Amino acid sequence: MDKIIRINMTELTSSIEPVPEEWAGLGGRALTSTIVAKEVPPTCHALGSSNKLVFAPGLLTGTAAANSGRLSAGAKSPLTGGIKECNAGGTAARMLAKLGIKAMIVEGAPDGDKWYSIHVTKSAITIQEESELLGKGNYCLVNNVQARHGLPVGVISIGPVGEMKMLSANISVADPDSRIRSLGRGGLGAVMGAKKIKFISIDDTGTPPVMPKDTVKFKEAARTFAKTLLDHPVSGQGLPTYGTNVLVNILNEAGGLPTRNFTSGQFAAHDKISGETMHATIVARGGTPTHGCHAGCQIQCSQVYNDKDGKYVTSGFEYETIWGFGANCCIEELDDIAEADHIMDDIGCDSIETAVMFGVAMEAGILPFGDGKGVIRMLREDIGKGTPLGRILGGGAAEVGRMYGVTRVPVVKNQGIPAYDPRAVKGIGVTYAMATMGADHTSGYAIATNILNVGGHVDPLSKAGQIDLARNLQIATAAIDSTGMCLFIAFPALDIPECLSSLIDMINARFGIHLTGDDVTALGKSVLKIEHQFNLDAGLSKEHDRLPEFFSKERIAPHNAIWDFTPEELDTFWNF
Amino acid sequence: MAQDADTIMEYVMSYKIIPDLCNACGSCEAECPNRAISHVEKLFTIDPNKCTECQGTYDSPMCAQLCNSDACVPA
Repeated sequence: MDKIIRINMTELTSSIEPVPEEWAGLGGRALTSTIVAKEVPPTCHALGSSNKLVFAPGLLTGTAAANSGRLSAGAKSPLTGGIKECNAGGTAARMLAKLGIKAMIVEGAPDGDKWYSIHVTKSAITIQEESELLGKGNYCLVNNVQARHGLPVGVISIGPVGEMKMLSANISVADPDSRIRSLGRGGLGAVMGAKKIKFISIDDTGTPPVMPKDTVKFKEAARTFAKTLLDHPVSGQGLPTYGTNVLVNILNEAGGLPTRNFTSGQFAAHDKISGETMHATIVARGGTPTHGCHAGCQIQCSQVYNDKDGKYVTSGFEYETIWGFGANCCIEELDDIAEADHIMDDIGCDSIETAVMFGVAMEAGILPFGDGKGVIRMLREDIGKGTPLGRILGGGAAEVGRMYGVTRVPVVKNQGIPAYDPRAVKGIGVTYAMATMGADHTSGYAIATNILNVGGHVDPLSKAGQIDLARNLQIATAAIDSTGMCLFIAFPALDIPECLSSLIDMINARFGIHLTGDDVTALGKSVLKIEHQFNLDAGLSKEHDRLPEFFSKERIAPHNAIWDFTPEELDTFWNF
Repeated sequence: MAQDADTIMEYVMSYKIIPDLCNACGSCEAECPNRAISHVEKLFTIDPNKCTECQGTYDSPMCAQLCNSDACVPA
């Protein structure tokens, strides 16, 4: 029987509640955002005791559906000041789903200085004082926690950056190889740190897989769904071969690869950091070019990157990280970026926010553009150890821009703009401006239609059709984020009709219900509206749904492109 | 009799995945209690040295119960 777990960190107690009827059809982002909107005062301090941190597996997590193992986390974000949902792979989501935990709500905060861990099993929830692993990085932590239990338990943790409540702090989740995946954006690690929780471990021993109500229909739909993932050129070929970093050369060619803190759209050394170069390097060094972030992943866009001696450096080496330190900070050595990625996973900071921040820091003169070794040193010695400079850098791009008087600061709602220039790829610009999450490419991935010709084509340099595109993608994404599915299923979903219909068939067979495509669209709309209202109530008005001024003043090579949407045009996004 | 003995000798307590049937959904990998299933070159395979046919854990092999395409069969 599904249940809600509530953990009160003020009282150090836990309780189990039945699932309210209005939450029964929700999962993942729909559930975290609904709970946050209902239970968190929008004007509260995000690091205070009134904020709540909610974890939820998706509607299909724990079943035999491919790519359904994502974990959502939600709270009020200390970075954006609005609502936040992040999701990642790893093993925890599936374990929570098998334990029948529809959501885990962490509320309150302890009065004293003590730190805690939480252990969840089939029969108990244990809150224990934790001291041994304080100050430790996530890699060490995961190994220690799993060794304590003698089992590959699920682990949700924060590194030192989360303990210090920096705004770039992320939450980590152990993957099937006991390595790190990240609930990256919006400083949710600081929220977990504010609640004095170093880690949550989950043991699903004794729980069977989640079985659908109608096994025959589920299997039929799951078979169709899996085939669409294999058949689509992006999910079936491009991502498995080169990972997300296939995009470096593509965006460079499109003139939308933000370079040198968003002052150009092309990077001369793009080939040195490209997916093709990365793939060749991984193969030559005995790494793993295809790898899944969670068991049951069919797309396998992750990879294991080794150093020159064949020793593990990082996994899940993503395009946005490589772009951010590569083109945006002009670092040409892939090995330096890989080491930075390892350190960020370990100390627990968002690799997008941190990369955008370093671009601003380089412009501020804190370190030179291209200084890979300087980045590694500052990550380890300043941010990781919380020196005064490290605290500023760990506050993210907007914080550093304010401290150093930089005017070219690529953020929306204080959150760093990722890897696609909004002047040269205008659909993603609309997503950045309007997303309830702050600048977040995954909220409505217009690159698919602007650049990859998935779901048709909308000219990236023209304003025409971009607002409709971003709106439709954000609605669809909000629904997908609620299923527990990896967002990359959107590629086949946009091109192959059977993908979406079989996804809905799986949900129907899982719960014995009769959703239609319209119901799923309505769910996506409802999630966005709930999040938007929370943001309005938190003080994020329509004036926050804008890109920074410099995008409208500075043209970007090679297309001489500029951001030219009016506020009135952008506001039509919410006409639904 | 000798033939029977050979048959016994050759029997490995394991399931296997028929490549032509596997559609790589990964459902078997996620629930294998022995972590015997892995993703190899676009499909999933069972390591016969780790597979116990789920004896002691489930009533019947879980990979076969979950498989969407009847690809998991006795080796």
